[in-house]
Amino acid sequence: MTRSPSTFQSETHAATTRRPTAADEGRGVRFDGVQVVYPTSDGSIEAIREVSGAISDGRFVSLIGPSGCGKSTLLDVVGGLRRPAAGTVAINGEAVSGPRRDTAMVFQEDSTLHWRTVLSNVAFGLEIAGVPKKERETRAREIINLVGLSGFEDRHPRELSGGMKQRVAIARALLLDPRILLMDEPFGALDQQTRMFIGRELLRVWDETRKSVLFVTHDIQEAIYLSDEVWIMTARPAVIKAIVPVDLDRPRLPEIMSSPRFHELSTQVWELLRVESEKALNIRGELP
Amino acid sequence: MTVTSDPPAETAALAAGQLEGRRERRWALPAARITVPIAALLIWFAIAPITDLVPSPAAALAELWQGFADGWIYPGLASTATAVLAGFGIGVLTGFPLGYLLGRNRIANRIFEPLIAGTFAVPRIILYPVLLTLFGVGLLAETGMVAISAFFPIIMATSAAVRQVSENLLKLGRSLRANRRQLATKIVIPDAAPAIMVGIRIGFSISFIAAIIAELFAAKEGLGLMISEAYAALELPRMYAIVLLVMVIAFVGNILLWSLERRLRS
Repeated sequence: MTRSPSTFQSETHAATTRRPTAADEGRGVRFDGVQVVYPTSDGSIEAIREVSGAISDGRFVSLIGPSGCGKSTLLDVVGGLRRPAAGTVAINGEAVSGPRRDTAMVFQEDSTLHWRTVLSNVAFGLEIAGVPKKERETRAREIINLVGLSGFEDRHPRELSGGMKQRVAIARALLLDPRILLMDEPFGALDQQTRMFIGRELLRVWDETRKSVLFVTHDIQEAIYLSDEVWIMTARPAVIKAIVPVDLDRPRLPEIMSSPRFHELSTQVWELLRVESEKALNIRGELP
Repeated sequence: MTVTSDPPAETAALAAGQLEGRRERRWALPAARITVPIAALLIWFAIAPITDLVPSPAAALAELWQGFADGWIYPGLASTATAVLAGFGIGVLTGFPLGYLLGRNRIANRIFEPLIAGTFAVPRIILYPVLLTLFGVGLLAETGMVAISAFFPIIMATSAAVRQVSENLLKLGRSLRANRRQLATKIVIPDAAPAIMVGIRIGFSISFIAAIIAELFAAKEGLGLMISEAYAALELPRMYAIVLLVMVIAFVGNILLWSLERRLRS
């Protein structure tokens, strides 16, 4: 990745949050009036009313909001798996019209191929892309090492824990060397300890690779711990209610969660989120 | 697909592992399995001397041995094997792709699914007289009968199996920009393979049943015909010999497919 000198200067000033510069214009992800409507048997549901904004190159952005607010839907739009009813998502200036080579997704549920070994699972994306076996397996071994799964190359998913399976999915995504990593509650099915641990691992890997990340979660601590920015979505039909920049130093260790600043940020995000969660619950309560 | 694997399968695997894992107990599982056929054989031995209507196992086995030694069993065996293998092959080659289409194509599914589900309840053997009038008594009508019989369980199982493929894996495939062929060969079929194999195995069992029943009804050659001839002539050792042979062939064939299915599942 190339970064303009000005970026580095601004980093030395702000130390933590990298402000988008002129050189970044057009790089990264741009949301422009994105609206998503689901067809249903009786009419349609407006999942996302209007989302505009930008994730500049190399930033880690978390998307948080009440359950069912359309976070995952927005991620699918960036991943090219769902078309918006209006508006566009552009990556590096190009409108997204389908799945792209420079984005890779990690899903909440287990998405390992149970009949394949870890090695072959991790290499799967490159296999689909037509990379020769020898090359893709060599590269897969490196990534397996990076995510801490060395020694498990020949195991099958059934022999792995939930956390390890998610690491396989992350490794598979990383191996595609995407510019943008789209993670849909990747640790949602894991227990709290595993979550903390694998979150730290993700930060370590991210520090080495510095990809843009759009990370869907409903865990406030996780969002703050990992991100440069936390985007808070409203209840359906969703808009971005607020963007909270996270001005904590990097690299971050889990200890940072007990710092006063972390608590302030958590409170701030929770205050913004609480109203929306209540709204979401009320909407649901009204449904027959 | 859920995160945790199926617990009963896991426990079963564990239990099998415990039985087979420890050295001194290696024989336990095969020994436990073989008790049932041995018990059946013992019952046969016990009953045979009591009545003239049951020949002794020794007589039946001697007759079977003669069948191979003299060669009188080969034409029938070859004829039945041809009908079963050809019919089963046709059943797989038509049932599998059509089942795939039925499971993955919404329009095909909406049109044909009720039709096939309904036909599934019709005893297929009633079509045999129709085939006989069309093709005459012989291998062609019998093979057709076997093919029709094998087709239904295979198309039904394949259709259900490919429809139940994990949405998550399909989403993964699309996000990786897999084309239609890659989705089929690298995601849908491998994920559905164990369930498809169940249909294929059942299709094989039914193929054999259909061939024998067809031969009992009308045929020029075949093991079923030989059984009914032996029965008519009251050549009981010969009848038992052929019955035994049919049982062994069906058993072995099914076990082979079953172990393949288990291998796919693990």
